[in-house]
Amino acid sequence: MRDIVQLVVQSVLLGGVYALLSLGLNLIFGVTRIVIFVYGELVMLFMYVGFLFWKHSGIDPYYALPLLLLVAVGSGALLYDLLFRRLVRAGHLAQILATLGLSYALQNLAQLAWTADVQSVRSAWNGYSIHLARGNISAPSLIACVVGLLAATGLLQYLRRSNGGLAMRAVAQDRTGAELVGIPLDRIYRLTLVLATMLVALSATFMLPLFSVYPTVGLDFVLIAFVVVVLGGMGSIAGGIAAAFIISLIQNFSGYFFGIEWQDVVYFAVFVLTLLFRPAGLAGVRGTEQLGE
Amino acid sequence: MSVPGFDWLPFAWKQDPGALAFATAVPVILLIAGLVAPDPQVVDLLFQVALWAGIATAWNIMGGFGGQLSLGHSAFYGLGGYAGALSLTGIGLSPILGIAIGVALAVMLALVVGLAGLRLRGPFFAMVTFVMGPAFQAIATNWTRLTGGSGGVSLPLRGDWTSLIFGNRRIYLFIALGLLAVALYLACRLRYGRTGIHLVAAGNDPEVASSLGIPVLRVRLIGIAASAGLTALAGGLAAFYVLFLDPENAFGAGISIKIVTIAVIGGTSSIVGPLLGAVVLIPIEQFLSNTFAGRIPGLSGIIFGLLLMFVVLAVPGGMVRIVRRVWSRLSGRSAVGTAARTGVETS
Amino acid sequence: MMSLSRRDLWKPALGAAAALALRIRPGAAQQPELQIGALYPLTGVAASFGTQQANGLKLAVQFINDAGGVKGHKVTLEFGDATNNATAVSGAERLVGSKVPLIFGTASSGLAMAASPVAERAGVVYVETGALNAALNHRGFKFFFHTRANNEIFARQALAVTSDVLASKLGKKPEQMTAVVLHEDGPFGTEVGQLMPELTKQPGSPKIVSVDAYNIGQTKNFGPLILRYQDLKPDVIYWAAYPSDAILFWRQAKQQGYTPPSVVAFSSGPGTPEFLNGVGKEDSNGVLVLDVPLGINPAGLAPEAAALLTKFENAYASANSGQQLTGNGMVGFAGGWILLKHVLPLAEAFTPEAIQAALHRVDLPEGALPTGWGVKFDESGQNVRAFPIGLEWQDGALTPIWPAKFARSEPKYLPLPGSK
Repeated sequence: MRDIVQLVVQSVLLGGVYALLSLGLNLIFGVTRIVIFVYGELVMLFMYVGFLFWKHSGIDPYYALPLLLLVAVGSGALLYDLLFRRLVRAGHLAQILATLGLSYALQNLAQLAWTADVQSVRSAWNGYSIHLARGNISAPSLIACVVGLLAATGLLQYLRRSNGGLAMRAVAQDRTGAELVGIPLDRIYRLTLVLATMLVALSATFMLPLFSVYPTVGLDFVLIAFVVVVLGGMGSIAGGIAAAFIISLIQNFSGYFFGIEWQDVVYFAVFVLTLLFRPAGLAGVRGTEQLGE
Repeated sequence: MSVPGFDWLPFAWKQDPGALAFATAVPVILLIAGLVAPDPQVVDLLFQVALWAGIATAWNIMGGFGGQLSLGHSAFYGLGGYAGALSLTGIGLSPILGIAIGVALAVMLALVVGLAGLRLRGPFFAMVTFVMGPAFQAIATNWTRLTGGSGGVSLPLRGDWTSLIFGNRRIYLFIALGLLAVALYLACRLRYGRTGIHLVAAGNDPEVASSLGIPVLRVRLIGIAASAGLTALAGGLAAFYVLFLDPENAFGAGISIKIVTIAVIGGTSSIVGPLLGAVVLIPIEQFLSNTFAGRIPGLSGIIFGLLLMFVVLAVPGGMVRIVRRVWSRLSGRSAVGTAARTGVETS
Repeated sequence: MMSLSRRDLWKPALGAAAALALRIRPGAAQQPELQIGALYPLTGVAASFGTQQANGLKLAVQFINDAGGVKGHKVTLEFGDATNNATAVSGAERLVGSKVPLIFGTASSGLAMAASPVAERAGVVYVETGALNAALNHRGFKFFFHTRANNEIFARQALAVTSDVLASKLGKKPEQMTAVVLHEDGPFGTEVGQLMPELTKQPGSPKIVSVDAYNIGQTKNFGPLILRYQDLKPDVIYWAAYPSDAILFWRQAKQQGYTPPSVVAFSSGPGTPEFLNGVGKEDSNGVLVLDVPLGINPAGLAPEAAALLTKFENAYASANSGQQLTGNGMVGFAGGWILLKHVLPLAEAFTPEAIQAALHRVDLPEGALPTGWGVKFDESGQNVRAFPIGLEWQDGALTPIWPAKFARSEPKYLPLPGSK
C-alpha cells in the first residue's frame, strides 16, 4: 500500500513536469497548426544556455530564468521571422522535413559547440527532499511540477482573458474565419511563437536540475511532448495537462507492476490507440483530424 | 504498339520524355559503372544509390502520388530485413522465402495503415506513421527470444545464392538495380496509366476523384501495398548486404527520414524525382561524411540538415522543378507551357 | 670535375620547391608512410566515447612517430565517422577501399557488430579497442581482434570482486548475498543482463533476484524501479549503464532515499567524470566501477610501462585542452600502443595476413602495458591478458582498490553510506 501511495505521488510530480514540457508545443500546434519536430532541440538549446549560465557564474541555475526568458523573447521572434513565417504557408510535408532538417543541424551544432559529454547542474535544491512515510519527494521535482501547473493555469487565463489570447484561440479554431474578422494572422503567429518559446525557456530552466543535457536529448523530450499533446488534443491546454498526468500514471504503474522496460512500450500503445480511435484527443475538437489543416 | 503492361508508355512519352529518358538511362549507367568499377568503395556507393533510389521511388508511389505522407517506411524496411535474416538464422529457411514472408507482412501492415488513413488527414496521419518505425524498434529490442534483442542478428559471411550471401558485392548492386527497375515501372504504370491520369486531373482530391468514378480507396490501397512491398524487399536485400541487423538499423526513424528526404528533395511530383534525389544526395552524404570525419565532427550533419531545410522551403518542387525550369529556359520554351504538359504539380 | 648538367639542378630545385610548398623538412619528406584506418563514432549518440578513444589512439600514434615510427614508417590515421550502423558500414567500406591493412574501431558494440564484417570479408584486420561485447569474438572471424577485456571477463571480475571485497565488507558470504542486474537495453547492457545470471549459477555466487532492462533515451523516470529495489533490498546492484541514464538513476534513487549496500558498475557510465558532475562527490562515494586501470598504483607495472603511463597522462591533458582522461581515452591509447609498439614491428610486412600472424605471436606478461595488462590473443581474437580492475569513487576520485597489487587504497565507503 505504501508503494501505491509513493507511485501516485511520483506520477503527480512527473505529470507536472510533462505538462510543463509540452505547453509550448501545444500552443504552437493549436494556433499555427505547424508540426514542428525541432521542438526538442529548442528545449535542448535553452537547457544548454542555463547550464552555461550556471557553469560560468556559479549562481544557482534557477536564477537563470530571467536571462532565459529574455533570450526567448528575442529568439522566438527571430525564429518566427526567419523560419516559421514560411512554414505556415508550406504544406505539412515541408513543415516536417524543414523542422527535421533544422533539428538535425542543431544537434550537430550543439555537439560541435559543447562536445557530446553529458552535462549536469547541481542546484542548491538538489539535496532537499520532503520526507514521506515511505520515500521522499525531491525538491526539484516538486518545484518543476508546481511551476508546470502554475504555467498551465497562467496560460489558460491568458488565453481566456487577454486580447492576444482570445485572438489566438480564434485563429486556432478557425483560421479563415479569424482572418475574415480582421485578426492580423502574422502578428498573432509571432506572438504565439514568442510565448511558446518563453514556455520552452521556462521548462528548460526547471527541468535542468532534473535531467542532464547532451546534444541528442531533444529526441527524448520531443517524443514525450508529442504523445502528451496528441492525447490531450492538439491545441487544448487543459487536455494537455490531463494527458500529462494520465501518461505519467500509466507509465509509473506499468513500470512497477510489469517491469521498467514496459513503461516505454506504453508510449507507443497510448499514442497509436489515441490516433486510431480518438485522433482529436481527449479534449480536442472532434473532426479536426479530418480537416487536416 | 501495345505491349501488355506497357500501354501507358505512349502517353508517358508524350507527357514527360525527359523523365522517361532519365528513368531508363540512370539504371543503365549504374549497371555499367558497377560492371567496370574496380574499387569496392565505388561499388558500395552505386549500391547505396540504387537501393535508396528504389526505396524512395517506392515511397513516392504512396507519399507522392497517393498523397499519403508516410514517415514510417522503416517499419516495412525492417520487416523485410528481419524476416529474411531470422528465417535463415532461426529456421534455416532460405531468406528468399523469408523476405517473401516479410513482404506479405509489410503489405498487411500497409493495408491497415491505409485504412486508418481514411479517417486521418495531414499531420495526424503523418504522426501515426512516424510512430510505426520506433514501435517496431521497441518490439524488436524487447522480444529478445525472437529477434536477439538489441544485440541484433549476425548473418554468416559465407553462403550461396539460396542464402542470398554473395562474395561478389556487385551481385547485390544488380539485384538493387532490378528492384529499382520494378519500382520505376510500377510508379510509371500508376502515374501514367488511366487511373493515374484521372487522379492527377482530379487534383489528387479524393472527393472530386470519386465523383468521377475512380475507385479511390482501391487505387490508394494498391499503391500503399506496392510501396510497402517494395520497401520490404529492399530492406531484406540491405540486411544481406550488411550481414548484420539490429533494431535501430532496421526500424530506426532515421531510415524513414532518409527515404522521405531523398524523395522530397528530388521532387515528389515526378516519377524520377526520388531517383534524382538519390543520385545527388547519397554521394553528397558520403562526401561530407568522409571529408570531415575526424576533423570537425558534426559539420557534415549541420550542412546536411540546413541544406534539407533550405531546399524544402525555397524549392518546394524539389530538384525536378529546378531541372525543368533550366531545361525549358535552355530549349526556349515557356515555363507555363511545360507545366501544362507535365500535368498539375502536386506539392 | 664534372660540370653540373641542367638535369642535375632540377632535382634539388624541385625538392626545395616541394618542401616549401608542403612545408616539410627535406629529411621527413622521404619517410615512408603507413596508413591505418580508424573508425569511431565522432558524432551521434556514442560520440563522447568515440572521440575520447580516438584521442587516446591519436596520442599512441604521435608517441610512436616521435620515436621514429614503425620500422621507419610514419603512421597516419585515416578516420571514418561511424555515427550509426549505416555510416559505420560505409565508413568501413571506404577504409577497406583505401587499402589500409588494419582498422581500429569502434567504441560501441553495435557499431562494431555492423562494421567488422566488412573488414572480415575483405581480409582486413579489425582491432576493436573499446566495445565490450563478447559476442564480437564468437562469430568465427579470423581477422577480428579485441585488445580490451570483453563482457565475459568483466562478468568474471564482477563476481571475483564480489567475493573478494564486497562479501567481507557486507559481512555476508557471497552465496548469502542477493543481487539485481540493471542494464540499458542496447547490445552492451543486454549482454551483461544475459551473462550475470549465467555465471551466478556456479556455487558460491550471489543469487540474482531481478534483471531489469530500460531504454536509455526514453526512460527519464526510474521511480517504479527504485520502489521495487526498496522492496527487494538486494545486497549488490550489477550495473551496465551509460552516463546520462546512470546519472538519472542514481540521482533519483538518492532523492527517493534509496541507497543499495553496494554497486558494481561495468565500466561506462558510472565511471565517467560526467557521472561525478551529475551526482556530486558525496553521493558518488562507494560506487565501485570495473574499468580500465586508470591511475593505478604503478608498483604493479613494469618500469617502462609506468613511465609511459605518466607520459601519456600528461600528454592527454595538454592535447585535449584540459579534458579529463577517462577510461575511454586510456583504452584507445592502449589498443593503439599494443598494435603500433608491440605487434606491427613483429610483422614481416604490412599486409593483413602478416599482421594477423604477428597478433597471434605477440606474448607479453601482465604489467607490460600502462594499463597493467599483458597481451596474448586467443583463437577468438580476444586479448585474454586484458582485465578491468575495481575502482571506488572516493571523494571525487576514482581510486583503484582491487586487486591488491594495483590498489592505491582500501575501499573506504563500503557498504555505501546511507544504505540501511
